[in-house]
Amino acid sequence: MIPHERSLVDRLKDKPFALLGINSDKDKDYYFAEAKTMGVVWRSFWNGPKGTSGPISGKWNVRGWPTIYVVDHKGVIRFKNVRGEAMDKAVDQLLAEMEQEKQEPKKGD
Amino acid sequence: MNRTRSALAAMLLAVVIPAQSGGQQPANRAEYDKLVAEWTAAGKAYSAAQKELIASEAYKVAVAAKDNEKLTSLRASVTRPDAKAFGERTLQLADQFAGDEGLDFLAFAATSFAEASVQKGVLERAQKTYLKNKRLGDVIENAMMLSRFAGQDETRAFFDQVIAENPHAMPRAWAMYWEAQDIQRNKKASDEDKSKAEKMLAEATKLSTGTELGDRIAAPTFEKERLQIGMEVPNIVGEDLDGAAFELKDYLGKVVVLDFWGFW
Repeated sequence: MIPHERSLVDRLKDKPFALLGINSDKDKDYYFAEAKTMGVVWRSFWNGPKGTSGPISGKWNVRGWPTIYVVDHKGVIRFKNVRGEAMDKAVDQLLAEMEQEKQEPKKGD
Repeated sequence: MNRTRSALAAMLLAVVIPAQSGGQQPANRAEYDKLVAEWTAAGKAYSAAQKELIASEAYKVAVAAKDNEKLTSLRASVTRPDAKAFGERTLQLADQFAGDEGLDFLAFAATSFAEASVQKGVLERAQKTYLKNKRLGDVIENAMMLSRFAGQDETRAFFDQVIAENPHAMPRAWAMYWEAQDIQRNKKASDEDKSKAEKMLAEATKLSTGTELGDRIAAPTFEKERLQIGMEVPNIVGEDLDGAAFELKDYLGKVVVLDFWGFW
């Protein structure tokens, strides 16, 4: 997963796109060491010292890891739990929608 | 690395990769910090030794040859941190600093050591010394471990006692929450028990509004009502790993992938 996410972030670095993590490592030192080795280039919220029992995942009812939500530029949830190629496709579709909307403003805009 | 695993598995793994001290500031900082640091270091050394083993030539050869006997013996050469010894030391410190001060050690033991003797020791002390304590919730918070290792019936009897005798909101709310979970997980629960669980959850919700526990109880409803495809994503307000505050809504106008993840 991590190499895939990294390549997605690299590929779309000039696009209006962000991968945001909710990281559930209890130990920040461990996180920083691993992040350096694995080349983590995206920002994460920290789920706190309780790890997977932390407040953000608790509120969002996250029971499986990883859990993925894909949100469009208007802030609407559009896909859930897409991984690998399906994640790439979902993001590309939403970026294309955004581009198209820019070129063809709706009536009344 | 396969990161697809259940939250429970991640939690159990996290027992081996130990926690930093969370929650309240303990009164006996030096003793407490020393204990936590030693347990953390033991966990790190264990993870490192495991990684080293998996990367070793002997291990790769054994995997390729499907030599299970060899794999078992190789795995046995990496010893886990001694949860029992650490746990007993923690309980001794809890006794040494009896009163409110001992509670931190008890909470640490409750969340860290997957050992029957330790969790029984936690339960016994919580019952005897801290039944009416305001911060007893710190001990009960991770009750999955208590109930698993100190005995389900004993843990439930303890929760009933907390609900009956502890006058403070959070310990009562935690006890109600876990007891309700216990009933709801039991497929053979009677209708009477099921309605008791519902009442307890409703009461726990009232007691814990605005806390992490309140959010946790509301989570299934939150997911159903706020996190479906086509819905406006709820904001997240938090901090990154460097401690810098930010919000999900800062990213409005961009396509965003939200990824709940970890290295563990």
